[in-house]
Amino acid sequence: MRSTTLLALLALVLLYLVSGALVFQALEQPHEQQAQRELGEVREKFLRAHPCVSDQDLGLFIKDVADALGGGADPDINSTSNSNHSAWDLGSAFFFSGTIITTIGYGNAALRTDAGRLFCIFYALVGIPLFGILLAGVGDRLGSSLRRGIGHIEAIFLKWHVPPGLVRILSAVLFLLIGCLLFVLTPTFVFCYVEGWSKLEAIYFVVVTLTTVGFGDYVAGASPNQSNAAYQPLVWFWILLGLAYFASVLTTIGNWLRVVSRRTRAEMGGLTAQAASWTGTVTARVTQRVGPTAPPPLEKERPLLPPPPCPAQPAGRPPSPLPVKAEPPSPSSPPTASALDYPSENLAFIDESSDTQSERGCALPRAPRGRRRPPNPPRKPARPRGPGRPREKGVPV
Amino acid sequence: MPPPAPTQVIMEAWVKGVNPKGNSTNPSNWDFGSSFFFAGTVVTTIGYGNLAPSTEAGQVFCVFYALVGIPLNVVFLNHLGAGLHGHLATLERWEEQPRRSQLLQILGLALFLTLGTLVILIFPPMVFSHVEGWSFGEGFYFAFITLSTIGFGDYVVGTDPSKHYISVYRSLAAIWILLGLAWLALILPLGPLLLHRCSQLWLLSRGLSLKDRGAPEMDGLPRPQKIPISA
Repeated sequence: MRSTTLLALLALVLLYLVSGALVFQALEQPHEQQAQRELGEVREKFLRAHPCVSDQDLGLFIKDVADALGGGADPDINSTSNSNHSAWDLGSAFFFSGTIITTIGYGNAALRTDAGRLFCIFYALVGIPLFGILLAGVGDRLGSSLRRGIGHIEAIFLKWHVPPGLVRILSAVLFLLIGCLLFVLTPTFVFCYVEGWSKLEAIYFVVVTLTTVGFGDYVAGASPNQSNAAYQPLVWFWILLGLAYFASVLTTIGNWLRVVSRRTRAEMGGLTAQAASWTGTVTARVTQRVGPTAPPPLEKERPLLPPPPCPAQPAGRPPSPLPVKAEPPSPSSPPTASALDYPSENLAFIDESSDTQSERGCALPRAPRGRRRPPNPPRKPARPRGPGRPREKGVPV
Repeated sequence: MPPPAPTQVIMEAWVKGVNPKGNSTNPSNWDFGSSFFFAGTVVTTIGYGNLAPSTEAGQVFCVFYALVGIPLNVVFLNHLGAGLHGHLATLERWEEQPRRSQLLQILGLALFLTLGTLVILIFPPMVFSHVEGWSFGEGFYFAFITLSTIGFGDYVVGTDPSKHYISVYRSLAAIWILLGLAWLALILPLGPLLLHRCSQLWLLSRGLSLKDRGAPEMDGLPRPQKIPISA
């Protein structure tokens, strides 16, 4: 079962890569060929305008320039104009260290000396885990404060008798919107203004940076006429905060993908036990839909209640008498035995950054989860530990 | 209009991803194999940047491609790491025996780590340095920068236009990247675990009564890991 899942995932990833390769090829190849043609034309024109230069000399010169570009030299500066601009002044070096430990790695300035490379390896070995800890802490604080603010708004909505399902969607949208506004749109406009990029280029830079892909074709503060010394450190702090936000967004998408895969697996597996509990769920869902008046008051009370005492039982399930059929398996199954069925998911749970864990903790008292739970119970009895909640966090997106 | 300075043209071409050394008969940077490799560097967040989309449509697509592809890849790596984790089962079973096997366990763990390091971190750089004509130090630097997903892009396998690579070379490199990342996903969680255990041993040896305070933390970290292992 697990190996088939793995193979299916591998096939999916490969398929994704192939489709991406086809699209990128279709989009980029014509442009590249055009650039290559233009370069050839310019070369021809240059040779015609300067007959004294032989083709071979020009080729050697171009080779030298290309090597120097690879070595980090600026081709616009000749040796007589003593510009004291360096790619390795203190601010840039600080920024470079930042790109190491965040694993962004733009590569617009990379190391050329052996000593630098050796140092870089050990620097990264210490720095990346260190930064991970910091990121977890920042994400923790950020997520909890964001969620607290959204909780207030949610309470207002609930006071206006907005249906709770709508409130859930609204709050998820709000979380995304506020995050986008703070960490994507504001920096986008700042970069547009400071760097003179188009909006699209700025957004591209923001996403490529915050996903830590970091191509390095656009780098903030890399242009030599950048004078403000505080600019690059500021960019670095934006990266720190934005990474925390993007990590939570990416985890959300990942959980959502996991839910989809698990759902298809549950449907294709056709195990009797799952089928039995599935029918139980369906009945429960139907009964809940028949009586929709029951959940809302419970959900309204929910924010006032303290978090439920039992940590193993996922919170937010209203103690409604209606979905009795889906309830019994969850308390009866011992956590160890059930965890054996899903070792990989437990590992995934470990791998998830701790900010999600604490977000999960914050999500406990707030969420009117009752309506979302019924679709999933076939999996729920098997997974009494952590992973249940991030999955739900993924659902609204 | 005066012709632009050649250095500027070269610079522009360089930025656009054209290799100025080559002439127009050069193989494209965006043939299928390279595009595939590029898509791989996107979803693994390595992002060498020796190739980057330069058209608007390519950039827009890249943004959404990354937003979906990175989580997908993370899920896949988690599963792969779980598969590798099964090999640790024997080690953890030793832990059930109380006292004398601690040394054995540490030895086994060390053996596992050395083997993994050899297969993932030592052997491929040797191959790369042989094929690409790098020194071993450069090959190792490349491997480290790749697997830590930093990805400067100053050294990238299979990009030298003057070399003829065998066709599966890039695919093998891609498989190595995937395996290496899964291996790292496996051992990186072990780091905090080991640290925690070391600190506990240290505290015990100092005879501090912090043990009961350490116990709930013990629940938080190693427990969920031990459960899947003993499967």
